[in-house]
Amino acid sequence: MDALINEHRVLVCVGSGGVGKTTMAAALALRGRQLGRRVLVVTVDPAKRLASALGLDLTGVEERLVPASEVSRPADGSGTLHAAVIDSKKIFDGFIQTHATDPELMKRLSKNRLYEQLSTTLSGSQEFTALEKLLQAHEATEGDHPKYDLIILDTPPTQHAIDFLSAPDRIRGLFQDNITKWFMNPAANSGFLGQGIVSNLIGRGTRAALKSLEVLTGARFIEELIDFFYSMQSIQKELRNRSEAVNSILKSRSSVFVLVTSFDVAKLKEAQHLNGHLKKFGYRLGACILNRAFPDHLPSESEMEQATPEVLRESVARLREVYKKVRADHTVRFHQFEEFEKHVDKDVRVVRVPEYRQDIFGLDDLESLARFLGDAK
Amino acid sequence: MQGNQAGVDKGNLQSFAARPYVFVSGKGGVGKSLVAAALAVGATESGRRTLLVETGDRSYFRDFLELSEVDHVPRASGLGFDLAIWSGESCLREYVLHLLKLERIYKIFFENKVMKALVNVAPGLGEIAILGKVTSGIRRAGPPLNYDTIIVDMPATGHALAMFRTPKGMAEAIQIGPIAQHSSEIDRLLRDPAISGLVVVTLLEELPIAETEEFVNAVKNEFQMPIQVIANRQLDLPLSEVELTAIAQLGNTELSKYAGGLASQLKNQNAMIAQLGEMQKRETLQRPVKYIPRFLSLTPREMVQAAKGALRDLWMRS
Repeated sequence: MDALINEHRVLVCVGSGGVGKTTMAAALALRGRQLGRRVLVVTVDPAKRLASALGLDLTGVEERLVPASEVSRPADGSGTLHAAVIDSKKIFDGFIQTHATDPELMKRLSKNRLYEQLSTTLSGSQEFTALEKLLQAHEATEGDHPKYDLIILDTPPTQHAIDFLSAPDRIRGLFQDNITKWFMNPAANSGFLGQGIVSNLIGRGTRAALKSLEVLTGARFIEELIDFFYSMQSIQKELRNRSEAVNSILKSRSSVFVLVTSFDVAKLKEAQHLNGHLKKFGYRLGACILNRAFPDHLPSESEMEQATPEVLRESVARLREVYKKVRADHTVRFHQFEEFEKHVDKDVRVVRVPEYRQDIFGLDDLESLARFLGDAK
Repeated sequence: MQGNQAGVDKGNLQSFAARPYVFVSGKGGVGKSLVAAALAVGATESGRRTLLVETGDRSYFRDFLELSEVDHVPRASGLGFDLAIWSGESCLREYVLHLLKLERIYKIFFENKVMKALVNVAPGLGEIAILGKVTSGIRRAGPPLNYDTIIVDMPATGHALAMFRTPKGMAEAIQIGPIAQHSSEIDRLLRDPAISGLVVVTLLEELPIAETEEFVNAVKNEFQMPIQVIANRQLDLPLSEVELTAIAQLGNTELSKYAGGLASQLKNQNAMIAQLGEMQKRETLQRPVKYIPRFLSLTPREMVQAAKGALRDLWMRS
């Protein structure tokens, strides 16, 4: 994986929840430092122990410098690692404050009931803020050079890896010109479909659809919605600019996606097709990390046939039965793996990370996982 | 807390998985879907007409069970129960069509980009639509849904909690209008311990257990839902930790190392089981935890059947 790390400026780790994505992102970041690069890892909701291993502040959006030991970077002392946690609400609020042109509208927005949800629970908001953070880090400079030459982005868990990319579109889609322009007239009270509030530009079809939305949700709901769109209009242009900027970064040759997945028949099928999906949108999958794919070590059958003292003979016999079952399962899984490897795109590196007997938490564990990933073909 | 207590007792009168609505959640990657399918098979075999619902846009079971299609409209899963996938959009679409009865308006509503965007931004509308669809039978709202038990394969804990909170939040934010009315009805059904139950799936590992405890506490504080914790992938060995340690101490051989590895896994696992035991003592958990062993070399369908066996008593009357 070292080539992948060396040749790119942005690595985006995608995958569904509970597969060890954040751990892998952290390990890839540590590997970047071992290779002497200036790294930032941006994580979402890291486990407490992982966060403390990285010295992360769970409450802020600040980037923290992760202390380096002698073995964790090249002898010339190059290589730094910063880490940050995404706080969706803070990033969203910050975004609004930076880009809103009209303070009056900003105040109005902060009072809107729907805004609170947009910045926290609305599907797509975490993805949106993760990408905003990526863009900020990409633009950051120190002296006359970019502050980071490797940015590793851990993404919010999605049911399916591909969802990460479509999620921000849901947010962006809301603020297209043709939607917000309906709400230019702030004289919104009830009677949403009355004169003036909805611009004459909208067609009869939309008018009928809006009427049915009002029937469904009630006038009060529509009021909040109108207020929300009206207040959002001042940042609409900037929202579009930023999303175009981040998209061009993700599509450039210096960015690559890394899928982290568990070893499960359904997940493997998804992984097989992911690169195709990504390609359609102009992105690239560089590697597929199969986490906890196999036990870290399994003795051979002959090694298990060692002579044992009389008292333990019966226990050892039962142990050998366990071993046989595990071995048989291993064979099945290995076959599945070979099939998978055969069918996955040739330009995607496939890395198997074993199921370690101990959870990976400490910085030392992460450093050795980093070396393992780096050396993996 | 007294209200809770009464609620739980009421809930205890019937078997756990025989409630009209059983929600299944847990940390990502713990095997929620397997448990949901096992519960669905069990409920079916106990004579209940059962629907298993996936939430979201893409079906997991399609690949897992090798089905040709999983859709909004329930279809036979091949395991006895029916299977459907419901998203906010698909539920809303169906509901609108039912309510408006006019194909033309319905088409305008959903083929209109602007409308789609509005529905997307209306926070919670998708969640309300899904929970509204799940509870539509008892509320007699929308098209008929003839099942005795609906098992919902929910998103992971954080999102599931947000989803449970939506009806009340929506009812409070909007107050008047049809959405507000539906929302408070849905909320009432979620809080009725005889109607809704929650299954939390965990692994016997530190992070999933911690997340389980957090989730259970949050749900208990806010809802009266009876909660059943199920620990998946338990290492079920015919040897004790003591025996394994004895073999591990035989010498520096592969056999000994293998035994040593298993011994430490078993030790970690026992610590986790003890932690669940503590949660039971503190009455964080009001029901004994059920365990599903780690299956080796089984096909998905065999796994579902085996898991069902391990959860047998969840649909027997107590």
